[in-house]
Amino acid sequence: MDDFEIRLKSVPLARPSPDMKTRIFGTGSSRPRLIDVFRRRIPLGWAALFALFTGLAGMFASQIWSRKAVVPPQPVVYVQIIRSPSDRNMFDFTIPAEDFMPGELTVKVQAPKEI
Amino acid sequence: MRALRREMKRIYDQYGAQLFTYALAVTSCPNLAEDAIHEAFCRGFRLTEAPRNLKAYMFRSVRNAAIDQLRQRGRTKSLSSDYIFDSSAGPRELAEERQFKHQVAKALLKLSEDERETIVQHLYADLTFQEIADLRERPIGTVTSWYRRGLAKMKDYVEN
Repeated sequence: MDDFEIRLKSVPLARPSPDMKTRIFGTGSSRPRLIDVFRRRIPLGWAALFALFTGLAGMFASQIWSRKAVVPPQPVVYVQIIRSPSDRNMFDFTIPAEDFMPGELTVKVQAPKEI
Repeated sequence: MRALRREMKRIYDQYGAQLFTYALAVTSCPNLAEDAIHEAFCRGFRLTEAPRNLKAYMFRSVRNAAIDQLRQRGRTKSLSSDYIFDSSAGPRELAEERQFKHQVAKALLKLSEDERETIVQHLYADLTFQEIADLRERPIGTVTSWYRRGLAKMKDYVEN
């Protein structure tokens, strides 16, 4: 750089108007806009990893949700009708009847031993 | 992208005057120059990742925005030499310095656009010839010859 260049460089340049900085930086929000979040470029590896993760998570979630509720086994109780006031077969539902098992029944209840 | 915004603010603080002078060299109008700078920074805010050389990118962006401004609004009257350099110097400024400043501004306006832009970029904005060549998409030899030729013309004008 010769003397003339140094002398040229020493001349102060004009500056833009003082409100220019506010116009550029002050008014705009420093937060990224929502649309910018979606415009953000994602590396291919990250996208593949994300797809793999969501796929596996989906598989696990579907397995968990499709699992039926576990119902504890109900104890089996055998009820044997020993005597009924009616002679007809009350479990023959082809014959219309007003009452089911009318009168007093004598039954024998047999429960499993663990109950 | 906050880091990019911060970096752009730093570029503005450090090279605001140079960017303005460069935009002036392209548009020849202070209002268009300011609009070009504003537009260039707005374009910068929309970037998804920081450019490798942000300073060179901003100069390129200002140039593109300035050319867009000229296309939209048309070239206005030629630039007054009072606008290029800081005219707010205090009373202590010597008459000789004021005279030199005025002469340099006039000499700068007499150059071709390529020469003027290259001198502003290299001399005032400290861009290397390689950066200017990349920015202007021209061979480095062309850029250096613009600079040397422009400088010689300015020297000739100022000294004579």
